[in-house]
Amino acid sequence: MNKKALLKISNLAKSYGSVVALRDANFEVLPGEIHALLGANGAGKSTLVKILTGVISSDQGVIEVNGTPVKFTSPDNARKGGVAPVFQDPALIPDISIQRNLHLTGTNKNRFLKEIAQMGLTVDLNKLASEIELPLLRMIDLARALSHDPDLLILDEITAALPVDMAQKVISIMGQYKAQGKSVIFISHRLAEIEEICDRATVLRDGINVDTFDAAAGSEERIVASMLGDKNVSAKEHNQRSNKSENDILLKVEGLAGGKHLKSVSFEIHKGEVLGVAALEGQGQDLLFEILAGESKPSDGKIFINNNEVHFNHPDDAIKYGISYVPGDRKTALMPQRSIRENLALTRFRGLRNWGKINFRDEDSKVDGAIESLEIDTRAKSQVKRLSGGNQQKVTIGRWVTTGFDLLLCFDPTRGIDVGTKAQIYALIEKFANEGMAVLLFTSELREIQLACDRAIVLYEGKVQADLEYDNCDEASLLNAAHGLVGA
Amino acid sequence: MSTIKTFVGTRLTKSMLSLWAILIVLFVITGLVDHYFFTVPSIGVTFQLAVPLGLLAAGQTICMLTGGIDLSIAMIATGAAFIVSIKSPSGLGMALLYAFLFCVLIGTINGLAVGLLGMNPLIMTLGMNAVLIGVFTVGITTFLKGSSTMPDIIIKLSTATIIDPLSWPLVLWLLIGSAVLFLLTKSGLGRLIYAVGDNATAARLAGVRVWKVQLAAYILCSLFGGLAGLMIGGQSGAVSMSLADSLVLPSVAAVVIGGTSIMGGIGGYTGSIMGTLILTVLSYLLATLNSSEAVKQMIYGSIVLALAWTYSKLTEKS
Amino acid sequence: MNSIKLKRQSWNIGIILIALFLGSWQVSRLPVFGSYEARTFLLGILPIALLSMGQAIIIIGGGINLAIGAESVLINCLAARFMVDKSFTVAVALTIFFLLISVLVGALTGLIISKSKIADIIVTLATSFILIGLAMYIQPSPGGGMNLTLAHLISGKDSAFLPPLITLILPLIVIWLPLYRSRTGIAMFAIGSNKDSAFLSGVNVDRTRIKLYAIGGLFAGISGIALTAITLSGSPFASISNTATLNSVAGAVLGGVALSGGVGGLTGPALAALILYFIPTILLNYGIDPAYSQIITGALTIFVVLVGGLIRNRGKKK
Repeated sequence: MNKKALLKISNLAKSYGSVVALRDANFEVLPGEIHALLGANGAGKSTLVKILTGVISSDQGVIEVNGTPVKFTSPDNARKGGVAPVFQDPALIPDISIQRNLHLTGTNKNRFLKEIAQMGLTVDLNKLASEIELPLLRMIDLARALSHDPDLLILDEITAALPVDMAQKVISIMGQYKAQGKSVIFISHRLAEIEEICDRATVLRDGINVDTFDAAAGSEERIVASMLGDKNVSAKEHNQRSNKSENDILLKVEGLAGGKHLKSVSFEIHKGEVLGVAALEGQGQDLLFEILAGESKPSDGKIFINNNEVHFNHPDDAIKYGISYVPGDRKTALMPQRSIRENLALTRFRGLRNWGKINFRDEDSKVDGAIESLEIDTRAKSQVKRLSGGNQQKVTIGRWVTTGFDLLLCFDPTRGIDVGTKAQIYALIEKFANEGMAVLLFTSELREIQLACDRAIVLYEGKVQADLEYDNCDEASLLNAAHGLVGA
Repeated sequence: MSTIKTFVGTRLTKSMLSLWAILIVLFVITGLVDHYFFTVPSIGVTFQLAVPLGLLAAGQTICMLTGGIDLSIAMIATGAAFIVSIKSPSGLGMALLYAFLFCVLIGTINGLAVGLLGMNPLIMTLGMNAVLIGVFTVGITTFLKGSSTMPDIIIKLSTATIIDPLSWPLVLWLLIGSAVLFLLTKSGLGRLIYAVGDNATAARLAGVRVWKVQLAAYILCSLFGGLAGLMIGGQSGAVSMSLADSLVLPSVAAVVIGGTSIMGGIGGYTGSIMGTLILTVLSYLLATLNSSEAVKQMIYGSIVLALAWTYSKLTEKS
Repeated sequence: MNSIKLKRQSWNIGIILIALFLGSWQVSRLPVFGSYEARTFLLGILPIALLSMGQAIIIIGGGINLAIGAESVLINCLAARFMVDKSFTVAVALTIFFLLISVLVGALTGLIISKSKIADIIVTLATSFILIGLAMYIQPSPGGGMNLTLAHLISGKDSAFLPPLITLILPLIVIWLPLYRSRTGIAMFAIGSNKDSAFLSGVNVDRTRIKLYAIGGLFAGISGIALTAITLSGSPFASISNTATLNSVAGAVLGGVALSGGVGGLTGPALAALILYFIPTILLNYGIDPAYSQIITGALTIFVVLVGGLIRNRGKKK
């Protein structure tokens, strides 16, 4: 390498209890370089960014800036050391004005306004951060970071769910920044953006940097290959259950809308079918699942179960109709301080009628059955928070195994989970389908669709962009549809 | 790895063991300072005096396990005692019924406000406390005018010794305490109380109507407060506005020292019983020290703080 | 239009209107309203207004101090005990010294909360015992006094209503305004609003919390000194401290401070103290038992928090 690295990290590692978030990360960022950091969910990107910006400290490893080892103890400290991050969730304090937010970080107001003006935007400094729309807030956060003239700018999925014009603005700002000889670490799931602007890319997988290469046009294949690795997810050759679509329709959704992103979604799911849902970040998929689970209310549209229209006011209503929900964030579904048993048995006590003495014999058999069929590791059974991510996820699914259901809503159930457990979860989903239950599965890893689903719908801008049969669910088709490139 | 299991096991018993250790140390110190303390009647009386606090702590434990707190519990206790003393001429049954209805009413208001309207429990119950003080201050000169002595049967149940050191209040505590332990460990409602306190969102996603659980918790808390009030009234023979005033902080402290988190979801009544006994022996010790009320308050506050701190450090590493 | 700010402004305007309404009602009942009556008004609200401001600072920063009344009582007793029969210069020196103590007590409370990671409620409940104990130790029974020249400087004399007005407004100008504009002031809103974002913005959460408790303590100290100047005695009673604490929370919340933290100011709480003062006075004028005022204060606090909460979390799930 002829240029001296601006940032060099070696052997960085971080674990949370038994969960290894970052195993051994090594890479360099050169001056005047836009460096993409890639990896599947749970590969360790966000942990790495947190360490680089002083939010958390690493267990081991060295960070060098311009050849001198540094240890950032706080975000403030990192900012003063020339490293400024912009996160997907803007770090502005919601209850105070933009002006006071700038004051808090010691940002020069005029400099900030200049940056904002260069972006072609206007900002009312007296507005509270909570009054400003998310896309603009991200740009404000970016302008604030730029005002500090960092040597290294870290952009963590800043373009996710950003409108195209704003995303383009970010891209051009990065270009200008590079022209000034500064560097950027750019994290994005949008491969086109990476090919467009990045010089090099480093791919993380399971907490290790597996590949670094020039991110020229056409490197997409290499990116995907190294992101996925040679994980032969051990799901057997997907045996397509043939007579799927002839089975009865279990759930039908018509024109469902809600929130900012969900515009009008219609689809149906048959008994014994695994229907995949693919979408980029922020296409309304999370709200779709919440509405079906009775956790949120739709602003428009109808839901039919077995051809009867239903209305849910509370998750309990959905559960009564046989709909179970495994949310994307395990933390929202688990009671971290309680035992595996109590977590698995929770739904048993829903109604007032079950407030009395617990039928321990029945509970034992149900809980043991779930533990056995899900192969939950019970070594740390007294508190669920001590379990590994994979085992926690099994507990959230196992809860519904003890309860029984007709339709399981799984939102990204394999996020941040090791390969072995992923395979177990696929097998489990297949087992449910074979037993006649239906599964609606959203996954952020498109590859999983063909591993686990019989059919898939792709959401784009709050609508169903494509409804694809199994054979058409290859990653390329899904990606195209997810970017709105093919019509429904 | 069986080490994890053993680790978890020892961690939990370690906190319980340390409570025992604290209790025994306090017990021995008290005995050394005051030799009379080690006699059977004295131990009996100490237990007897622990019962009202133990009952208040039962209510507070249930509330705090759901992530709440009830600072109106002392005025609920006082109110129940007032109602019984005033209505006792029209028959004990009626008097108890009125007191019972009063407790359920206040518990319902607290519970609905917290569960359904999303009130901050601290403010709700502090405000309720102020309202109750006002109502009873006005009441004793108007609609609650009358006898301020407790019925004999309640005095007997609150003080009478069966065989030293066993007394009626202690027997009642054993019965009620077992019921509370049963509720928290063996009943569906108990599971839900823990669930709501640990993660209300998770409970709701599992189909639990969270507000119903909170409502039940505040009503139960209120009822235990009422029972405690009757017993304090019985022990002092007459009721007054400041009947249970001094027991609000101890009721919270006993629960916290006993390892129940104010954030909810973890802990239990066994710990609160230990906390109650520790605080009762501590009060006895402070009383024998022949020191002024001022010094007692300072020591009491400091020890509560130190115990809470020790406990949180002990369980922090997880 | 800036909707959130409008909402907050309308809240403050509402408070002002209610205060004006109650104020003119009260004034209309008086045969004459001159500077003497104005001074009586001011003396009535001074201690609680100062205390509400101190509580507001802590609540904005995401905490709550249930010992703030005790801090005030402690300083009240210290001042009454040591300032009696002292020369003006010595009394002034002592005032400064006692205010330093109040800052220290507050900072210590914040330090304990930061280091122990125990909930604010528990720590301050315990410290309230310690502080009241200290107050009782210093001034075992009501009494003491203050150099009259100093007392008149703080609380005025006869119809001199300017001194108490200055005592009320000066802290707003000298402490609150600079604080609001300083980085610590922004950090105060930041940690109350969102601790994680605050940390990402470079705020030292623990240090900010300690500073806020210290400033809250200072307000409690000024309140205690003012109380001494008004009553010319020290009263070491837990009941005074408890009522004061409740009123300080009520005043802060009524004054537009969100219990969840991050929102509010100090002018609102100062005005809210007016309302909390007028309600009992007016009732008293109509010959109604002042105990009703306690009911109304409690109910009003609940109502205000309820409405405020419902506005803020509309659409939140149960």
